[in-house]
Amino acid sequence: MSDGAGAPLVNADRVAGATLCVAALGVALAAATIEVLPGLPTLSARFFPWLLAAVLGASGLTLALRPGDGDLRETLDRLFAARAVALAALLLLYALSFRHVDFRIGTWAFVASSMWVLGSRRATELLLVPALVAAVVYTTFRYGFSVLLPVWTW
Amino acid sequence: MDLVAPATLAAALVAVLDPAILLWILAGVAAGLVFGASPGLTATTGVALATPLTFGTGFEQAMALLLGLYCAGYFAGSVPAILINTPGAPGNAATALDGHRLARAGRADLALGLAIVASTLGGLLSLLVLTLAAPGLAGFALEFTSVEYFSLGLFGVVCVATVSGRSLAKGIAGAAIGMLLGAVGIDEVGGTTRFTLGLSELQGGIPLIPALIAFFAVAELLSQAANRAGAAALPPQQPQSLRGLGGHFVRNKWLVLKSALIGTFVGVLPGTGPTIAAWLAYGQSGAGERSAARAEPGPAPHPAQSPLSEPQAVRGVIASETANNAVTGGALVPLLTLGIPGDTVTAVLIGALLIQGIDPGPFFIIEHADLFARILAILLVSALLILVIGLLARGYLPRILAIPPRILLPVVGVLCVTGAFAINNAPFDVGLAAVLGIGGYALARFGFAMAPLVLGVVLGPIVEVNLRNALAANDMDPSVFVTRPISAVLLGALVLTLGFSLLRRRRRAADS
Repeated sequence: MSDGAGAPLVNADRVAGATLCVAALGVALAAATIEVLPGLPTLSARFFPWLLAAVLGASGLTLALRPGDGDLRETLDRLFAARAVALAALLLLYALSFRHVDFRIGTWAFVASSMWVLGSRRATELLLVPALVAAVVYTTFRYGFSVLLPVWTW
Repeated sequence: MDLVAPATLAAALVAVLDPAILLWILAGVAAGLVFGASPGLTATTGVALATPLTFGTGFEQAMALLLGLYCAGYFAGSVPAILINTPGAPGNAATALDGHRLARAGRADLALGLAIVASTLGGLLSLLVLTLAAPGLAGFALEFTSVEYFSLGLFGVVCVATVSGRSLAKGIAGAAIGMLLGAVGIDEVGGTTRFTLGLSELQGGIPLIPALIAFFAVAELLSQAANRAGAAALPPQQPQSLRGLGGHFVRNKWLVLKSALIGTFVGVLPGTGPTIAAWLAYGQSGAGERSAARAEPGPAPHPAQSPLSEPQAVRGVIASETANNAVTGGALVPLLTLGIPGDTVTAVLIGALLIQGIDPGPFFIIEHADLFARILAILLVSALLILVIGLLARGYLPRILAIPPRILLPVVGVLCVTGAFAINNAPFDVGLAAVLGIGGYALARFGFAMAPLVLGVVLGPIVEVNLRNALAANDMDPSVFVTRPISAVLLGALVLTLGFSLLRRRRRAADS
């Protein structure tokens, strides 16, 4: 960690630190709404979240005032790398549709689209590997571990 | 408390040698080799993904799968470290320095052989410590009250926050975020609801296994998708005889012992892990001599291209890999005696033990000596299997690296989602794992390590509940934390750890 003297005003650590400070404030305000039971012979349920909010705020302040040498643009480029963003979107879609879609179809679609995002372009690979993965994972969980995965009834 | 009776150990060994259990260990070792050797996918990822699979299995099968994966995963990270200078896990980073130097000189077979045997020896020596020390420590832990548990939990969180990543502030912030996640749900002491956002599914708290899958597997998966790594071709390699390999270990027997003790000791410290153990052992293996040699005038060569002294490189690989795997037995000591994880994998293993209806803590060894003995037997067999499979298959191990990320990463994604669902048959957990994982990925991109965050999730409730119980039992008198000797020692160690960490970082900043 540098002393922060030479770090630019907008720096990855400064942004992370400022975000942590805002989050700490949010946690502190949310903790203030926690119900407090009268007569509890120890610290209330608010104490620990408030303590953690203070720690979070102090860490954020330290990062903002004494940042390392992380370049913000470079960090954001890495964060929003096209492949990672696309895979995150596919994963989120797969997860949120999990209960509604037949596991075998959803898994096939997720694996095929993820493989395409990660650079696979051969049609046979895009058809066969997802089908194999969906079949193996479904069979293993359904019959090996007796997990009832969501399936459509026809 | 007495040691585990030899008859119990013998019975456990017989039970573990059952072909069905051996197959589970073999499956765990095979999965560990794949997860450990795939850069970015660690043993922790593998154990987090495999834990939900143990829901429908018995204790022996579950432990056989997970402990086999644990031990093999810690070793296998050395394979990409040696072959492509990319550590499979942070604990293998020290191995990459000298291991890849050997590979570039055509001695990859020697380096892989050294890593296999050193990992086995490290695992076996730490197993010996676990066998001898854990029962005594469990008896000692019975004296612990909520005062000591609070101090120990806090010490664990601070330890991991100080050793993870380059920034202390980020380590502490990560631990605080994890502890806040651990505070979600109904408050155990007062019964009030906290931070549930009106979702009834969160009243029981953030489920541990989906959270672990999120931070260790989903976040890693997305980080791997963002990175594009390329491997440089190695020159033609010379085969290494087993006899020659043995000679290296005979010459370096004291180094093996010293590194195993370092690894075991670091493993015992709650919240630490193989990375610090491997670097400490590497440092005392002769790295100082290398530094002195490099202090000559002129530009410093890249570590992997600097002139090779084979005996020194051999010592480097032996030291780092012995210590790396010695952490496994050491980290199980606080888990099985105090219910406090020694490293990230044992944090996940808490979830696996809870699935089996076992509450890890001081009563585990006392009430379940037979199960403890089976854990020891599984660790023994796992270490020996790594040796046999590793030595027989070391020519084929590089092929694990040939699984293209475009296939491996989607498969891991499917296992993340399915594993998060399988643990409670709850679709909500699947969405939660995805959301937390994406959040973890964003934190990782800003340089936050995942280990403090996860240890925060695990240790946060322990720290809070014991803090409040300790104060309630002592008329709200906070001095009890420094007047009870064990607690005072732990808090003193915590202050020293923080102080040394700050000092080290200031020195590093001044040097740079």
